Amino acid sequence: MKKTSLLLLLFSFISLSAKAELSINITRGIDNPTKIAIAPLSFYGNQPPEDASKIIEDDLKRSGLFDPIPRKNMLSFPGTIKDIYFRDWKILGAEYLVVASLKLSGDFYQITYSLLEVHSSRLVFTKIAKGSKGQLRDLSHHISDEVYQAITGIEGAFSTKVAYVTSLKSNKKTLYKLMVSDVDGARERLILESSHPIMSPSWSPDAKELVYVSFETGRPAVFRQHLANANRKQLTDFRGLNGAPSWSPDGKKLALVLSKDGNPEIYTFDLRKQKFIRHTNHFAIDTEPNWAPDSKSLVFTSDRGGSPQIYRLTLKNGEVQRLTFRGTYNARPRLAANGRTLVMVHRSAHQFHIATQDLVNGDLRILTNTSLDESPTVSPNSAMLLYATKINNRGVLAAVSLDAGVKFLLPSKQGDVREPAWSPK
Amino acid sequence: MNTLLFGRFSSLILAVSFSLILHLVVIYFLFNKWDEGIKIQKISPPKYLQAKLISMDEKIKKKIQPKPKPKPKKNNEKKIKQKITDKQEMKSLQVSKQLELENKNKKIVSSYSAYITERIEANWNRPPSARRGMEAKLLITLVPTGQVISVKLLKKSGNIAFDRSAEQAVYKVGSFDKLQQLDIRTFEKSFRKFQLVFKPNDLRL
Repeated sequence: MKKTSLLLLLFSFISLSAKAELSINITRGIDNPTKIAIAPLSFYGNQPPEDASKIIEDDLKRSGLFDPIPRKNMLSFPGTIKDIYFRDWKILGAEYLVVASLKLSGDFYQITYSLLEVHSSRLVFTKIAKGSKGQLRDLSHHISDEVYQAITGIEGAFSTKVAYVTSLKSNKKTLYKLMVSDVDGARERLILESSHPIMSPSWSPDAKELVYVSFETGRPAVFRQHLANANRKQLTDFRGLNGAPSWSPDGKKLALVLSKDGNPEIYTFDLRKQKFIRHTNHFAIDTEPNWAPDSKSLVFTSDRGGSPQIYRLTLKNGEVQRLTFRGTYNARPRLAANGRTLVMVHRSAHQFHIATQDLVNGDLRILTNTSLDESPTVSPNSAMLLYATKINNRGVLAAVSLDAGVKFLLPSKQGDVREPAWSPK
Repeated sequence: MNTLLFGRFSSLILAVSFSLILHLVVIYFLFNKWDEGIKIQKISPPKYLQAKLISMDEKIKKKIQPKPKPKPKKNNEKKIKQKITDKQEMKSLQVSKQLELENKNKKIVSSYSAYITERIEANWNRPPSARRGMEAKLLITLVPTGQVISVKLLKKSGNIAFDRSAEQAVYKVGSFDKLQQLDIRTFEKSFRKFQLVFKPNDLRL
């Protein structure tokens, strides 16, 4: 009797211990912008020419994934970890805190910055960024990138640039400008000015050069230009259309559209061998090529099926496969660096919107609610895209996150702004 | 002489006998210990462990079941009278007792688990890099006030930001105040230490 009950108890204990601890499953959550506080940069000596903390704050805010705490609400301004009272930040509801201090050593800035978790009072990292006196803005964007990546798990894209074309009408003449600026619109730089149209800028993978189409010779021609020294070279001079150049991610080739043999076809141009190869041969229009991240295939627009749709061309065997089937107008394809998200201009209800199509599961999503949207360009981290649209009959740039959660217009500039191209990393 | 001697040492008798006893005790223990030591080395460590655990379980049972206890006692007596030493019935009785208890406990545990789930889900801000199929496991340690005293990452998801968001959710809750209402036994058994498995199923990607 006793023995059996003892055995039973033993048995029950063993079965209990096998279950181990209670396990609770968490299957849902919230997706709110993260509350973050960026304490003002502390510095010794002269005030730095730019407010680095404000640049970081604006970067993170613009990504839509962060909700920075206004500086005027802060209870303390710690410059180093020692000076932090976590209570001050818990009260404000901050989940993360960035503190930074700047030191000027010779002609170099050195920023020591730390990211901290407020609720657990834990340090995520402390890092040092160094740069010349003129690079305070670059240092700030770099810090934004590091903070963004630690919290979101996605590489930041605040240190990248945007190329775009502006046109300004005055006295019946139109002045075209090819410009490059930081993604936040700061440090705008003129690359080329012309009284003839400039179109389709595309970045080299090292972000040091641009290719674009200029009409300055009287007909469209593709040019290649160095940003640092403004050296430029004309690459095409064919009759008819010379357009829509796109630099391959491996840097070796350009994809472009030429109509020298009759109607617009997709070509590639080997930059080393200086050789053109024709890839499509169809009586319909084939245009707007863009590379897949592996440089082995292209996506392009064609009306060979009766309406403009997007196709994929595998370079090795010349195979062409249709990718879009919904709607009667899908054009200007761009493949995100993740290789999975296809971005395009999609017409629905007689309006042109920017849409994404997931190439794995086929999901189509319309991201924008403006009309006459065109020229989408995806950030190198596949998180945001820029596009051109019309507001009050003026061309402006707008941004939207690929999950459509964040939308905003870029600070307006003079004239019409068109054809944005987001630089690689 | 004797009496004198006795008289002379009588004052020491108590002390001497005491020391004698002590010596005997020491010798006894030495021998006994020696024997036991050898035995323990040979077989007993697992036995010792088992015995301890059984006694704990018995204690818990006695404490938890003041009411249903008489019934089985009566039954046992009857059985003894009937001289039917039916082991199977004994077993089934014990099992049903245990099931009853387990069910009651299960209800309590599941309702408080639901409360914990609710608190965590309201505070879990997933990073945009979170994807379906990711899974992180945390070991949470609480004190009876419900306050979180430690968070340990048992299983990484492969995405540092995802793991951090899970830990942050627990720290953000900080204290599961409702657990104060729990009786201390259930708290110790289920909520002193428990696991949280973060496995989103409501993400688009």
